[in-house]
Amino acid sequence: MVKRIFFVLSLLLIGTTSYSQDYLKDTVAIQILDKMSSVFGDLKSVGFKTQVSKDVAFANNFFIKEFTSSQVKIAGPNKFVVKIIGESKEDKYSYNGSQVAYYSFSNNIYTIADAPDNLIETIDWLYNDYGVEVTSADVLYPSFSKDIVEDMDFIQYLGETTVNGQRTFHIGCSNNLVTIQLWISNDIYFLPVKTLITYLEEPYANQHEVDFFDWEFNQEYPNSIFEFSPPPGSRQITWLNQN
Amino acid sequence: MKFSKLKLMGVFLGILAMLIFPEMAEAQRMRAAAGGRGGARPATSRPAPSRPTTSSRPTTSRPTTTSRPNTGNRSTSASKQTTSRPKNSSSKATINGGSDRVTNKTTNNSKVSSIKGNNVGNTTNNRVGNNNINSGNKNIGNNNKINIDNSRNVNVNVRNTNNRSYRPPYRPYPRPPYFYGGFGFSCFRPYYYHPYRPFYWGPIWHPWGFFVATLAVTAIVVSVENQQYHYDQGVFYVQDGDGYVVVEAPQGAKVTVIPSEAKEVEVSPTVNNYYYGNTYYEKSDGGYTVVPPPAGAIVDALPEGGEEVKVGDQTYVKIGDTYYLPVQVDGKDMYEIAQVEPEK
Repeated sequence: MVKRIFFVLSLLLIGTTSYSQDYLKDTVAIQILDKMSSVFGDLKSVGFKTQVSKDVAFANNFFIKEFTSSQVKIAGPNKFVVKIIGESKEDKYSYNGSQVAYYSFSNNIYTIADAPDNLIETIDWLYNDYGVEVTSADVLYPSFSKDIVEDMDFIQYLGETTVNGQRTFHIGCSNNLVTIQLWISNDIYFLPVKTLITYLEEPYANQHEVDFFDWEFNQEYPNSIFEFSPPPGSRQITWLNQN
Repeated sequence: MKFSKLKLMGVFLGILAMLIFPEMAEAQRMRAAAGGRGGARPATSRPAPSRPTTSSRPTTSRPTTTSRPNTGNRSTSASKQTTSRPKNSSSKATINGGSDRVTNKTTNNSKVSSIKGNNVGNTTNNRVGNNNINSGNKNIGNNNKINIDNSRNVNVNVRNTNNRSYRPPYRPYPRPPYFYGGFGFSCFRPYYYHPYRPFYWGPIWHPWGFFVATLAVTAIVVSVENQQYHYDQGVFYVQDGDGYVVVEAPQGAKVTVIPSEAKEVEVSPTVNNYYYGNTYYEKSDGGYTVVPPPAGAIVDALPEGGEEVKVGDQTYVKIGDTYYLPVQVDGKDMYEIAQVEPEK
Protein backbone atom coordinates (compact mmCIF):
# COMPACT_ATOMS: atom_id res chain seq x y z
CA MET A 1 0.00 0.00 0.00
CA VAL A 2 2.78 2.41 1.01
CA LYS A 3 4.66 1.48 -2.16
CA ARG A 4 1.58 2.30 -4.24
CA ILE A 5 1.16 5.69 -2.58
CA PHE A 6 4.84 6.40 -3.13
CA PHE A 7 4.52 5.36 -6.80
CA VAL A 8 1.48 7.60 -7.34
CA LEU A 9 3.23 10.53 -5.62
CA SER A 10 6.33 9.97 -7.74
CA LEU A 11 4.23 9.98 -10.89
CA LEU A 12 2.53 13.19 -9.81
CA LEU A 13 5.88 14.75 -9.05
CA ILE A 14 7.34 13.70 -12.39
CA GLY A 15 4.17 14.95 -14.11
CA THR A 16 4.43 18.37 -12.46
CA THR A 17 8.12 18.68 -13.28
CA SER A 18 7.64 17.74 -16.91
CA TYR A 19 4.65 20.09 -17.11
CA SER A 20 6.75 23.01 -15.87
CA GLN A 21 9.66 21.91 -18.09
CA ASP A 22 7.35 22.08 -21.14
CA TYR A 23 6.51 25.70 -20.38
CA LEU A 24 9.99 26.72 -19.30
CA LYS A 25 11.42 27.60 -22.70
CA ASP A 26 8.74 27.67 -25.35
CA THR A 27 10.21 26.90 -28.78
CA VAL A 28 7.65 29.07 -30.63
CA ALA A 29 8.64 32.05 -28.53
CA ILE A 30 12.33 31.33 -29.01
CA GLN A 31 11.90 31.03 -32.75
CA ILE A 32 10.12 34.41 -32.91
CA LEU A 33 12.89 36.00 -30.85
CA ASP A 34 15.48 34.39 -33.10
CA LYS A 35 13.71 35.74 -36.18
CA MET A 36 13.72 39.24 -34.75
CA SER A 37 17.35 38.96 -33.73
CA SER A 38 18.43 37.68 -37.13
CA VAL A 39 16.68 40.58 -38.91
CA PHE A 40 18.79 42.99 -36.85
CA GLY A 41 21.85 40.88 -37.55
CA ASP A 42 21.37 41.43 -41.27
CA LEU A 43 20.89 45.19 -41.19
CA LYS A 44 23.52 47.69 -42.27
CA SER A 45 21.64 50.56 -40.74
CA VAL A 46 18.44 51.06 -38.82
CA GLY A 47 16.35 53.99 -37.76
CA PHE A 48 13.35 54.11 -35.46
CA LYS A 49 11.47 56.21 -32.98
CA THR A 50 10.41 55.29 -29.48
CA GLN A 51 8.04 56.42 -26.78
CA VAL A 52 9.29 55.43 -23.36
CA SER A 53 7.51 55.49 -20.05
CA LYS A 54 9.26 54.46 -16.87
CA ASP A 55 8.64 54.47 -13.17
CA VAL A 56 10.94 56.79 -11.27
CA ALA A 57 11.24 56.74 -7.49
CA PHE A 58 9.80 60.01 -6.27
CA ALA A 59 9.65 59.01 -2.65
CA ASN A 60 10.44 55.83 -0.80
CA ASN A 61 7.03 54.34 -1.49
CA PHE A 62 5.94 56.46 -4.39
CA PHE A 63 6.88 56.02 -8.03
CA ILE A 64 5.97 58.54 -10.67
CA LYS A 65 5.83 57.97 -14.43
CA GLU A 66 8.36 59.71 -16.59
CA PHE A 67 7.82 59.94 -20.33
CA THR A 68 10.40 60.43 -23.03
CA SER A 69 10.45 60.07 -26.77
CA SER A 70 13.48 59.43 -28.88
CA GLN A 71 14.65 59.30 -32.44
CA VAL A 72 17.40 56.80 -33.18
CA LYS A 73 19.61 56.33 -36.26
CA ILE A 74 22.21 53.60 -36.18
CA ALA A 75 24.67 52.82 -38.96
CA GLY A 76 26.95 49.83 -38.81
CA PRO A 77 29.62 49.25 -37.79
CA ASN A 78 30.26 52.29 -35.64
CA LYS A 79 27.84 55.19 -35.73
CA PHE A 80 24.69 56.29 -34.02
CA VAL A 81 22.76 59.36 -33.10
CA VAL A 82 19.97 59.41 -30.54
CA LYS A 83 17.85 62.41 -29.73
CA ILE A 84 15.83 62.20 -26.55
CA ILE A 85 13.05 64.55 -25.63
CA GLY A 86 11.65 64.29 -22.14
CA GLU A 87 10.12 66.35 -19.40
CA SER A 88 12.27 69.48 -19.25
CA LYS A 89 15.10 67.94 -21.23
CA GLU A 90 16.21 67.60 -24.79
CA ASP A 91 19.41 65.64 -25.19
CA LYS A 92 21.44 64.15 -27.99
CA TYR A 93 24.02 61.38 -27.92
CA SER A 94 26.10 61.00 -31.06
CA TYR A 95 28.79 58.46 -31.83
CA ASN A 96 31.05 58.96 -34.83
CA GLY A 97 33.13 55.81 -34.54
CA SER A 98 35.71 57.20 -32.13
CA GLN A 99 33.96 59.50 -29.65
CA VAL A 100 30.59 59.77 -28.00
CA ALA A 101 29.27 63.26 -27.52
CA TYR A 102 26.40 64.19 -25.25
CA TYR A 103 24.70 67.51 -25.79
CA SER A 104 21.93 69.07 -23.75
CA PHE A 105 19.87 71.40 -25.94
CA SER A 106 18.07 72.86 -22.96
CA ASN A 107 21.24 73.62 -20.97
CA ASN A 108 23.72 74.17 -23.83
CA ILE A 109 26.36 71.95 -22.24
CA TYR A 110 28.14 68.94 -23.68
CA THR A 111 30.47 66.12 -22.78
CA ILE A 112 32.90 64.16 -24.93
CA ALA A 113 34.45 60.78 -24.23
CA ASP A 114 36.70 58.58 -26.36
CA ALA A 115 34.71 55.47 -27.20
CA PRO A 116 35.39 51.93 -28.45
CA ASP A 117 35.41 51.45 -32.21
CA ASN A 118 32.22 49.50 -32.70
CA LEU A 119 28.55 49.89 -31.87
CA ILE A 120 27.93 47.02 -29.53
CA GLU A 121 31.00 47.67 -27.40
CA THR A 122 30.15 51.37 -27.33
CA ILE A 123 26.57 50.73 -26.23
CA ASP A 124 27.90 48.43 -23.51
CA TRP A 125 30.59 50.90 -22.51
CA LEU A 126 28.09 53.76 -22.31
CA TYR A 127 25.91 51.74 -19.97
CA ASN A 128 28.70 50.38 -17.80
CA ASP A 129 30.87 53.49 -17.61
CA TYR A 130 28.33 56.28 -17.79
CA GLY A 131 24.99 54.72 -16.87
CA VAL A 132 23.53 55.73 -20.23
CA GLU A 133 21.07 53.29 -21.67
CA VAL A 134 20.71 53.82 -25.41
CA THR A 135 17.01 53.42 -26.09
CA SER A 136 16.28 49.79 -25.45
CA ALA A 137 19.38 48.73 -27.25
CA ASP A 138 19.02 45.24 -25.83
CA VAL A 139 16.98 44.12 -28.80
CA LEU A 140 19.80 45.17 -31.12
CA TYR A 141 22.38 42.89 -29.54
CA PRO A 142 23.45 39.99 -31.77
CA SER A 143 23.13 37.69 -28.80
CA PHE A 144 19.68 38.96 -27.80
CA SER A 145 17.73 35.72 -28.16
CA LYS A 146 20.64 33.70 -26.76
CA ASP A 147 20.87 36.00 -23.73
CA ILE A 148 17.12 35.79 -23.14
CA VAL A 149 17.21 32.02 -23.29
CA GLU A 150 20.18 31.89 -20.92
CA ASP A 151 18.97 34.50 -18.44
CA MET A 152 15.26 33.79 -18.25
CA ASP A 153 13.75 30.89 -16.36
CA PHE A 154 10.49 31.12 -18.20
CA ILE A 155 9.83 32.02 -21.83
CA GLN A 156 6.42 31.61 -23.36
CA TYR A 157 4.56 32.55 -26.50
CA LEU A 158 1.33 34.10 -25.21
CA GLY A 159 -0.53 34.37 -28.50
CA GLU A 160 -1.38 37.00 -31.05
CA THR A 161 -2.67 40.40 -30.10
CA THR A 162 -3.07 43.86 -31.60
CA VAL A 163 -0.79 46.59 -30.29
CA ASN A 164 -0.74 50.11 -31.73
CA GLY A 165 -2.87 48.86 -34.62
CA GLN A 166 -0.43 46.10 -35.54
CA ARG A 167 -0.85 42.37 -35.26
CA THR A 168 1.83 41.16 -32.91
CA PHE A 169 3.20 38.04 -31.27
CA HIS A 170 3.11 38.38 -27.52
CA ILE A 171 6.01 36.80 -25.65
CA GLY A 172 6.51 36.71 -21.92
CA CYS A 173 9.78 35.93 -20.13
CA SER A 174 10.67 36.00 -16.47
CA ASN A 175 13.19 35.13 -13.82
CA ASN A 176 13.26 36.03 -10.15
CA LEU A 177 14.49 39.58 -10.83
CA VAL A 178 12.54 40.69 -13.82
CA THR A 179 9.65 39.99 -16.15
CA ILE A 180 9.90 40.93 -19.80
CA GLN A 181 7.04 41.14 -22.24
CA LEU A 182 7.68 41.66 -25.92
CA TRP A 183 5.22 42.32 -28.68
CA ILE A 184 6.84 41.45 -31.99
CA SER A 185 5.24 42.37 -35.29
CA ASN A 186 3.48 39.58 -37.07
CA ASP A 187 4.76 40.49 -40.51
CA ILE A 188 7.80 39.72 -42.60
CA TYR A 189 10.22 41.69 -40.41
CA PHE A 190 9.48 40.46 -36.87
CA LEU A 191 10.25 43.84 -35.32
CA PRO A 192 9.65 44.84 -31.72
CA VAL A 193 6.46 46.91 -31.46
CA LYS A 194 6.49 47.18 -27.68
CA THR A 195 8.59 45.97 -24.78
CA LEU A 196 7.60 46.09 -21.14
CA ILE A 197 10.10 45.27 -18.44
CA THR A 198 9.04 44.95 -14.83
CA TYR A 199 11.92 45.04 -12.38
CA LEU A 200 11.16 43.02 -9.29
CA GLU A 201 14.36 43.18 -7.29
CA GLU A 202 13.84 46.62 -5.72
CA PRO A 203 11.57 47.19 -2.72
CA TYR A 204 8.80 48.06 -5.15
CA ALA A 205 8.33 46.63 -8.62
CA ASN A 206 8.75 49.23 -11.31
CA GLN A 207 8.23 49.24 -15.04
CA HIS A 208 9.99 50.40 -18.17
CA GLU A 209 7.84 50.42 -21.27
CA VAL A 210 8.95 51.21 -24.82
CA ASP A 211 6.86 51.57 -27.97
CA PHE A 212 8.78 51.37 -31.23
CA PHE A 213 7.62 52.86 -34.51
CA ASP A 214 8.71 54.40 -37.84
CA TRP A 215 11.30 51.75 -38.61
CA GLU A 216 13.77 52.38 -41.43
CA PHE A 217 16.20 49.82 -42.82
CA ASN A 218 19.47 50.06 -44.67
CA GLN A 219 19.16 53.76 -45.37
CA GLU A 220 22.36 55.57 -46.26
CA TYR A 221 22.58 58.11 -43.47
CA PRO A 222 24.88 61.07 -44.08
CA ASN A 223 28.00 60.93 -41.90
CA SER A 224 27.48 64.49 -40.74
CA ILE A 225 24.47 63.51 -38.60
CA PHE A 226 26.77 61.42 -36.42
CA GLU A 227 29.29 64.23 -35.92
CA PHE A 228 29.07 66.73 -33.09
CA SER A 229 30.15 70.35 -33.37
CA PRO A 230 29.78 72.34 -30.17
CA PRO A 231 27.15 75.03 -30.75
CA PRO A 232 28.16 78.62 -30.10
CA GLY A 233 28.16 79.48 -26.44
CA SER A 234 28.04 75.85 -25.32
CA ARG A 235 30.31 74.64 -22.53
CA GLN A 236 32.08 71.33 -22.21
CA ILE A 237 31.68 69.73 -18.81
CA THR A 238 33.37 66.69 -17.31
CA TRP A 239 31.76 63.33 -17.85
CA LEU A 240 32.09 61.37 -14.64
CA ASN A 241 32.99 57.77 -15.31
CA GLN A 242 31.57 55.12 -12.99
CA ASN A 243 34.69 52.95 -13.14
CA MET B 1 -28.99 47.15 -81.04
CA LYS B 2 -28.20 50.35 -79.19
CA PHE B 3 -25.52 48.54 -77.23
CA SER B 4 -23.68 47.35 -80.36
CA LYS B 5 -23.69 50.94 -81.73
CA LEU B 6 -22.18 52.18 -78.55
CA LYS B 7 -19.61 49.42 -78.67
CA LEU B 8 -18.67 50.38 -82.25
CA MET B 9 -18.37 54.00 -81.18
CA GLY B 10 -16.09 52.91 -78.36
CA VAL B 11 -13.84 50.96 -80.70
CA PHE B 12 -13.62 53.94 -83.05
CA LEU B 13 -12.67 56.30 -80.26
CA GLY B 14 -10.14 53.80 -79.00
CA ILE B 15 -8.40 53.59 -82.39
CA LEU B 16 -8.43 57.39 -82.58
CA ALA B 17 -6.79 57.59 -79.16
CA MET B 18 -4.11 55.09 -80.19
CA LEU B 19 -3.30 57.15 -83.23
CA ILE B 20 -2.88 60.24 -81.11
CA PHE B 21 -0.91 58.49 -78.32
CA PRO B 22 0.87 55.53 -79.86
CA GLU B 23 3.10 55.17 -76.82
CA MET B 24 0.07 54.66 -74.61
CA ALA B 25 -1.16 51.87 -76.83
CA GLU B 26 2.24 50.29 -76.61
CA ALA B 27 2.25 50.48 -72.87
CA GLN B 28 -1.06 48.77 -72.73
CA ARG B 29 0.16 46.06 -74.99
CA MET B 30 3.17 45.50 -72.76
CA ARG B 31 1.07 45.24 -69.72
CA ALA B 32 -1.38 42.97 -71.45
CA ALA B 33 1.50 40.80 -72.57
CA ALA B 34 2.76 40.64 -69.04
CA GLY B 35 -0.66 39.62 -67.92
CA GLY B 36 -0.69 36.86 -70.53
CA ARG B 37 -4.19 37.48 -71.76
CA GLY B 38 -3.88 40.66 -73.75
CA GLY B 39 -6.06 39.46 -76.58
CA ALA B 40 -9.02 38.78 -74.35
CA ARG B 41 -8.99 42.11 -72.51
CA PRO B 42 -11.08 44.79 -74.21
CA ALA B 43 -8.30 47.28 -73.66
CA THR B 44 -9.30 49.67 -76.36
CA SER B 45 -12.94 49.93 -75.55
CA ARG B 46 -12.71 50.62 -71.76
CA PRO B 47 -10.49 53.64 -71.39
CA ALA B 48 -11.20 55.19 -74.76
CA PRO B 49 -14.07 57.57 -73.85
CA SER B 50 -12.03 59.37 -71.22
CA ARG B 51 -8.75 59.63 -73.09
CA PRO B 52 -9.53 62.34 -75.59
CA THR B 53 -10.20 64.67 -72.67
CA THR B 54 -6.79 63.90 -71.23
CA SER B 55 -5.11 64.40 -74.55
CA SER B 56 -6.63 67.82 -75.05
CA ARG B 57 -5.33 69.11 -71.69
CA PRO B 58 -1.62 69.04 -72.16
CA THR B 59 -1.65 70.25 -75.75
CA THR B 60 -3.11 73.60 -74.77
CA SER B 61 -0.90 74.09 -71.73
CA ARG B 62 2.40 72.87 -73.08
CA PRO B 63 3.22 75.81 -75.36
CA THR B 64 3.23 78.05 -72.31
CA THR B 65 5.91 75.91 -70.80
CA THR B 66 8.08 76.06 -73.88
CA SER B 67 7.78 79.82 -74.21
CA ARG B 68 8.51 80.44 -70.51
CA PRO B 69 11.38 82.86 -70.32
CA ASN B 70 12.43 81.70 -66.89
CA THR B 71 14.42 78.85 -68.32
CA GLY B 72 16.72 81.34 -69.95
CA ASN B 73 17.18 83.21 -66.71
CA ARG B 74 17.87 80.05 -64.85
CA SER B 75 20.60 79.01 -67.23
CA THR B 76 22.20 82.43 -66.87
CA SER B 77 22.21 82.26 -63.12
CA ALA B 78 23.46 78.72 -63.28
CA SER B 79 26.34 79.76 -65.51
CA LYS B 80 27.10 82.66 -63.19
CA GLN B 81 27.32 80.23 -60.31
CA THR B 82 29.54 77.82 -62.17
CA THR B 83 32.14 80.53 -62.62
CA SER B 84 32.36 81.15 -58.88
CA ARG B 85 32.05 77.62 -57.60
CA PRO B 86 32.53 74.19 -59.08
CA LYS B 87 29.55 71.97 -59.75
CA ASN B 88 30.79 69.44 -57.27
CA SER B 89 33.01 70.58 -54.45
CA SER B 90 34.77 67.24 -54.38
CA SER B 91 34.65 63.83 -55.89
CA LYS B 92 32.41 62.62 -53.07
CA ALA B 93 29.57 60.50 -54.34
CA THR B 94 26.90 62.67 -52.77
CA ILE B 95 24.15 64.69 -54.39
CA ASN B 96 26.29 67.83 -54.58
CA GLY B 97 29.79 66.51 -53.95
CA GLY B 98 29.74 67.66 -50.34
CA SER B 99 28.95 71.06 -48.87
CA ASP B 100 31.32 74.01 -48.61
CA ARG B 101 31.29 74.50 -44.86
CA VAL B 102 31.51 77.95 -43.39
CA THR B 103 32.26 76.72 -39.89
CA ASN B 104 35.29 74.56 -39.36
CA LYS B 105 34.98 70.99 -38.27
CA THR B 106 36.08 70.88 -34.69
CA THR B 107 38.30 68.37 -33.00
CA ASN B 108 36.62 67.51 -29.75
CA ASN B 109 38.76 66.56 -26.82
CA SER B 110 37.55 63.99 -24.39
CA LYS B 111 37.02 65.30 -20.86
CA VAL B 112 36.25 62.58 -18.37
CA SER B 113 37.13 61.75 -14.82
CA SER B 114 36.48 58.75 -12.66
CA ILE B 115 34.32 58.75 -9.58
CA LYS B 116 36.60 56.09 -8.10
CA GLY B 117 39.44 58.55 -7.72
CA ASN B 118 37.37 60.79 -5.51
CA ASN B 119 37.57 61.00 -1.79
CA VAL B 120 33.80 61.04 -1.55
CA GLY B 121 31.73 59.57 1.20
CA ASN B 122 31.62 60.60 4.78
CA THR B 123 34.57 58.66 6.06
CA THR B 124 37.00 60.52 8.18
CA ASN B 125 40.55 60.19 7.12
CA ASN B 126 42.45 58.55 9.92
CA ARG B 127 45.81 59.87 8.97
CA VAL B 128 47.43 61.68 11.83
CA GLY B 129 49.17 64.89 11.07
CA ASN B 130 48.68 66.96 8.03
CA ASN B 131 49.63 65.29 4.82
CA ASN B 132 48.59 68.05 2.54
CA ILE B 133 51.96 69.63 2.25
CA ASN B 134 54.04 68.40 -0.65
CA SER B 135 57.15 70.28 0.21
CA GLY B 136 59.30 68.62 -2.38
CA ASN B 137 56.82 69.05 -5.16
CA LYS B 138 57.14 72.11 -7.30
CA ASN B 139 53.66 71.69 -8.73
CA ILE B 140 50.24 71.41 -7.19
CA GLY B 141 49.97 67.88 -5.85
CA ASN B 142 48.68 65.06 -8.02
CA ASN B 143 45.64 64.55 -5.90
CA ASN B 144 44.61 68.13 -6.31
CA LYS B 145 41.25 67.78 -7.96
CA ILE B 146 40.24 71.33 -8.53
CA ASN B 147 40.72 73.45 -11.59
CA ILE B 148 42.80 76.43 -10.81
CA ASP B 149 44.35 78.39 -13.57
CA ASN B 150 47.30 79.56 -11.64
CA SER B 151 50.33 80.48 -13.64
CA ARG B 152 52.61 80.28 -10.64
CA ASN B 153 53.76 76.90 -9.44
CA VAL B 154 53.24 76.47 -5.76
CA ASN B 155 54.72 73.95 -3.38
CA VAL B 156 51.61 73.09 -1.45
CA ASN B 157 48.67 70.85 -2.02
CA VAL B 158 45.78 73.22 -1.61
CA ARG B 159 43.38 70.42 -0.78
CA ASN B 160 43.03 69.27 2.76
CA THR B 161 42.83 65.49 2.63
CA ASN B 162 41.67 65.28 6.24
CA ASN B 163 38.50 67.11 5.43
CA ARG B 164 35.21 65.32 5.06
CA SER B 165 33.28 66.01 1.87
CA TYR B 166 29.97 66.50 3.69
CA ARG B 167 28.20 66.12 7.00
CA PRO B 168 25.11 63.85 6.90
CA PRO B 169 21.72 65.54 7.14
CA TYR B 170 19.71 65.44 10.36
CA ARG B 171 16.72 63.82 8.64
CA PRO B 172 16.43 60.87 6.24
CA TYR B 173 16.12 61.40 2.52
CA PRO B 174 12.59 60.88 1.17
CA ARG B 175 13.68 58.66 -1.68
CA PRO B 176 16.30 56.02 -2.39
CA PRO B 177 19.64 57.37 -3.64
CA TYR B 178 20.64 57.42 -7.28
CA PHE B 179 23.42 54.85 -7.54
CA TYR B 180 26.33 55.66 -9.75
CA GLY B 181 29.70 53.95 -9.77
CA GLY B 182 29.20 52.37 -6.38
CA PHE B 183 28.04 55.61 -4.73
CA GLY B 184 24.54 56.66 -3.82
CA PHE B 185 23.74 60.31 -4.58
CA SER B 186 21.01 61.79 -2.39
CA CYS B 187 19.35 65.18 -2.37
CA PHE B 188 16.10 66.52 -0.95
CA ARG B 189 15.19 68.90 -3.74
CA PRO B 190 14.53 68.16 -7.39
CA TYR B 191 17.28 68.79 -9.92
CA TYR B 192 16.99 72.11 -11.70
CA TYR B 193 19.91 72.90 -13.95
CA HIS B 194 21.41 76.37 -14.09
CA PRO B 195 24.88 77.16 -15.37
CA TYR B 196 27.74 77.26 -12.90
CA ARG B 197 28.93 80.85 -12.59
CA PRO B 198 31.65 81.24 -9.95
CA PHE B 199 31.03 83.86 -7.36
CA TYR B 200 33.67 86.25 -6.00
CA TRP B 201 33.38 87.39 -2.44
CA GLY B 202 35.28 90.60 -3.04
CA PRO B 203 38.94 91.62 -3.30
CA ILE B 204 39.96 90.16 0.03
CA TRP B 205 38.65 86.71 -0.73
CA HIS B 206 40.78 84.36 -2.88
CA PRO B 207 40.16 80.90 -4.33
CA TRP B 208 42.22 77.84 -3.44
CA GLY B 209 45.67 77.90 -4.96
CA PHE B 210 45.86 81.69 -5.09
CA PHE B 211 49.30 83.04 -4.21
CA VAL B 212 49.97 86.21 -2.26
CA ALA B 213 53.36 87.61 -1.43
CA THR B 214 52.32 89.14 1.86
CA LEU B 215 49.51 88.79 4.33
CA ALA B 216 47.47 91.55 5.89
CA VAL B 217 48.39 92.50 9.43
CA THR B 218 44.99 91.24 10.53
CA ALA B 219 46.00 87.64 9.68
CA ILE B 220 46.20 85.26 12.60
CA VAL B 221 47.89 81.91 13.01
CA VAL B 222 45.64 78.88 13.43
CA SER B 223 47.02 75.45 14.20
CA VAL B 224 45.20 72.29 13.19
CA GLU B 225 46.70 68.80 13.44
CA ASN B 226 50.22 70.17 13.77
CA GLN B 227 49.86 72.26 10.65
CA GLN B 228 50.09 76.00 10.87
CA TYR B 229 47.66 78.08 8.87
CA HIS B 230 47.28 81.78 8.48
CA TYR B 231 43.72 82.99 8.57
CA ASP B 232 42.53 86.30 7.31
CA GLN B 233 38.92 87.34 6.66
CA GLY B 234 37.50 83.96 5.68
CA VAL B 235 40.58 82.72 3.82
CA PHE B 236 43.16 80.17 5.01
CA TYR B 237 46.76 80.33 3.80
CA VAL B 238 49.86 78.24 4.25
CA GLN B 239 53.35 79.56 3.81
CA ASP B 240 55.03 78.71 0.55
CA GLY B 241 58.57 79.95 0.04
CA ASP B 242 58.47 83.69 -0.15
CA GLY B 243 54.71 83.97 0.04
CA TYR B 244 51.43 82.33 1.02
CA VAL B 245 49.03 80.07 -0.85
CA VAL B 246 45.30 79.86 -0.26
CA VAL B 247 44.24 76.37 0.82
CA GLU B 248 41.03 74.59 1.68
CA ALA B 249 39.89 75.57 5.16
CA PRO B 250 40.92 72.81 7.57
CA GLN B 251 37.90 71.33 9.32
CA GLY B 252 38.24 71.75 13.05
CA ALA B 253 40.03 75.09 12.79
CA LYS B 254 38.64 77.63 15.22
CA VAL B 255 38.57 81.32 14.50
CA THR B 256 37.12 84.18 16.44
CA VAL B 257 35.82 86.30 13.61
CA ILE B 258 34.28 85.50 10.26
CA PRO B 259 33.45 88.03 7.54
CA SER B 260 30.21 89.89 8.04
CA GLU B 261 29.11 88.82 4.54
CA ALA B 262 28.86 85.20 5.75
CA LYS B 263 25.35 83.85 5.19
CA GLU B 264 23.40 81.67 7.52
CA VAL B 265 22.74 78.18 6.24
CA GLU B 266 20.09 76.05 7.87
CA VAL B 267 21.45 72.68 8.87
CA SER B 268 18.53 71.62 11.07
CA PRO B 269 15.71 73.45 12.85
CA THR B 270 18.06 74.09 15.75
CA VAL B 271 21.46 74.45 14.09
CA ASN B 272 22.64 77.03 11.62
CA ASN B 273 26.02 77.21 9.92
CA TYR B 274 27.67 80.25 8.42
CA TYR B 275 28.83 80.09 4.83
CA TYR B 276 31.47 82.28 3.31
CA GLY B 277 33.82 81.62 0.39
CA ASN B 278 33.17 77.87 0.22
CA THR B 279 33.80 77.39 3.93
CA TYR B 280 31.19 76.39 6.49
CA TYR B 281 31.49 77.58 10.08
CA GLU B 282 29.55 76.56 13.15
CA LYS B 283 29.28 78.96 16.03
CA SER B 284 30.95 77.63 19.13
CA ASP B 285 32.03 79.10 22.44
CA GLY B 286 33.94 82.22 21.69
CA GLY B 287 34.28 81.68 17.99
CA TYR B 288 33.50 79.76 14.86
CA THR B 289 34.69 76.28 13.95
CA VAL B 290 35.21 75.13 10.37
CA VAL B 291 32.83 72.22 9.72
CA PRO B 292 32.13 69.92 6.77
CA PRO B 293 29.54 71.08 4.21
CA PRO B 294 26.14 70.12 5.64
CA ALA B 295 24.39 67.78 3.19
CA GLY B 296 20.86 68.86 2.43
CA ALA B 297 21.59 72.54 3.11
CA ILE B 298 21.39 75.05 0.29
CA VAL B 299 23.74 77.83 -0.73
CA ASP B 300 23.32 80.50 -3.36
CA ALA B 301 26.93 80.94 -4.49
CA LEU B 302 29.86 78.70 -5.32
CA PRO B 303 33.45 79.82 -5.78
CA GLU B 304 35.74 79.35 -8.74
CA GLY B 305 37.70 76.13 -8.88
CA GLY B 306 34.68 73.85 -9.22
CA GLU B 307 33.79 71.80 -12.25
CA GLU B 308 30.50 70.70 -13.67
CA VAL B 309 30.28 66.94 -13.88
CA LYS B 310 27.66 64.82 -15.58
CA VAL B 311 26.49 62.07 -13.25
CA GLY B 312 23.96 59.94 -15.08
CA ASP B 313 21.24 62.31 -16.20
CA GLN B 314 22.19 65.14 -13.88
CA THR B 315 24.94 67.72 -13.79
CA TYR B 316 26.52 68.49 -10.43
CA VAL B 317 29.11 71.09 -9.54
CA LYS B 318 32.01 69.41 -7.84
CA ILE B 319 34.25 71.46 -5.60
CA GLY B 320 36.97 69.47 -4.01
CA ASP B 321 35.18 66.26 -3.13
CA THR B 322 31.83 67.87 -2.42
CA TYR B 323 29.00 67.58 -4.93
CA TYR B 324 26.46 70.36 -5.30
CA LEU B 325 23.16 69.76 -7.07
CA PRO B 326 21.71 72.74 -8.96
CA VAL B 327 18.21 73.37 -7.58
CA GLN B 328 15.69 76.15 -7.55
CA VAL B 329 14.19 77.46 -4.34
CA ASP B 330 11.41 80.05 -4.47
CA GLY B 331 12.36 80.84 -8.06
CA LYS B 332 16.01 81.45 -7.18
CA ASP B 333 18.92 79.40 -8.48
CA MET B 334 20.64 77.63 -5.59
CA TYR B 335 22.83 74.60 -4.89
CA GLU B 336 22.06 71.78 -2.52
CA ILE B 337 24.96 69.96 -0.89
CA ALA B 338 24.60 66.33 -1.93
CA GLN B 339 25.22 63.27 0.16
CA VAL B 340 27.44 60.90 -1.79
CA GLU B 341 27.70 57.71 0.15
CA PRO B 342 29.45 54.46 -0.80
CA GLU B 343 26.90 51.80 -1.77
CA LYS B 344 26.33 49.32 1.04
